[in-house]
Amino acid sequence: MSSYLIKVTWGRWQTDPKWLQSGDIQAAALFDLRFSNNKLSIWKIDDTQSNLDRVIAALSVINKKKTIDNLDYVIITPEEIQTLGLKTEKSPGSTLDTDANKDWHYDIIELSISKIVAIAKCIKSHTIHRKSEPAVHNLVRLSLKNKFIDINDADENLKKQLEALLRKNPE
Amino acid sequence: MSTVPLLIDWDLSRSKPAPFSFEWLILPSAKSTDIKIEPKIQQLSSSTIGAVGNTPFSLLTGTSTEQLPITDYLTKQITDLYNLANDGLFEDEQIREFWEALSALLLTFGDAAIEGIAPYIIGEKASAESASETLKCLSHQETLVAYDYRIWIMERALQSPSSWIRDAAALALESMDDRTAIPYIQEALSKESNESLRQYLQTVIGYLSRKR
Repeated sequence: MSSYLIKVTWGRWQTDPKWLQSGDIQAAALFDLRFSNNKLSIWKIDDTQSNLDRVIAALSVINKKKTIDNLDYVIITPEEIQTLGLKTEKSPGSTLDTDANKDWHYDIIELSISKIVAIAKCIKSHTIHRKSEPAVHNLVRLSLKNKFIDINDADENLKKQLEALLRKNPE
Repeated sequence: MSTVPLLIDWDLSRSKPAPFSFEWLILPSAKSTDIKIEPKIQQLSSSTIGAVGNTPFSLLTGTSTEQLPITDYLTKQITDLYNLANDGLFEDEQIREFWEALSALLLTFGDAAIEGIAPYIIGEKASAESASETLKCLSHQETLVAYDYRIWIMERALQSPSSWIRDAAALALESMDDRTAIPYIQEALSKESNESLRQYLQTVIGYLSRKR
């Protein structure tokens, strides 16, 4: 069964700040749940996770982003979406992988504050996965090679990074 | 073009013990022999000062910065940078501006810039988010400027009380592709209590070990 990927930043979900009460979550985590028009961007991952690497590559090459670096994420299940009373809706993504944008990008819609908090608690209960920077670089190279990503769609800064990646040997 | 004599870089060997009062900030003895940093005098032209002053994070407005002693100037730049960054680096645009300001300071002041930001990163004057972004920025510079000092601050940040900063330090060292960091990561691993960070540190050690 398909699941959903939410991009996060590992540090925001850590509980070691001394001021943080047991079981609570740093407010900084809310910035991983930045919503627009009461919608939160998520990515559908198929049951065999065959599109996971491609989605990670897509999420790593976004115009205006300063670097192509590591990517942290959690995978939540459709059951959790249902249990939390969340609605999803297919919508176009904004990465440089146009097919991925079309096929696998969704929004959680009709978000309320209580639902945001529920999503945060759900994420907190999950293991945060990481693709390291060298691994992400390899995935991006693959997406370039397979023409999933068109380097000409990249802004100047990103294009330089992509060109540098192509010059560097894979890890 | 007018120039002003500005900066005598820190000599790391003369500054031991480290010029900061953080008890866990101790320069490893290895550094005293590994790093050979000669004091050097840099000159900063008025146009260069303008380049730094014009970054979006600068708060120097309408004053003649050339008349400030360089240490005061740099200190003010760094203070202003982190005062803004500690309010939050949430949007791509904010992060981009922070990177540009920090990169300009690094390129202009070299080692001294790292000395100046060290209290923020390893002395906890910066928020974990700002410190994390700083380490990421320092590890993605396409220059050898202050290379040893950048590695040094990343290695020190591995000992931060904040797991977020320790993680950022490990990410930065992985990005630097420098296997000389391995002993420091191994030491950090031996002290690390966060299980997922332990796993990641092991991954970084494995990755750097494969580097030639």
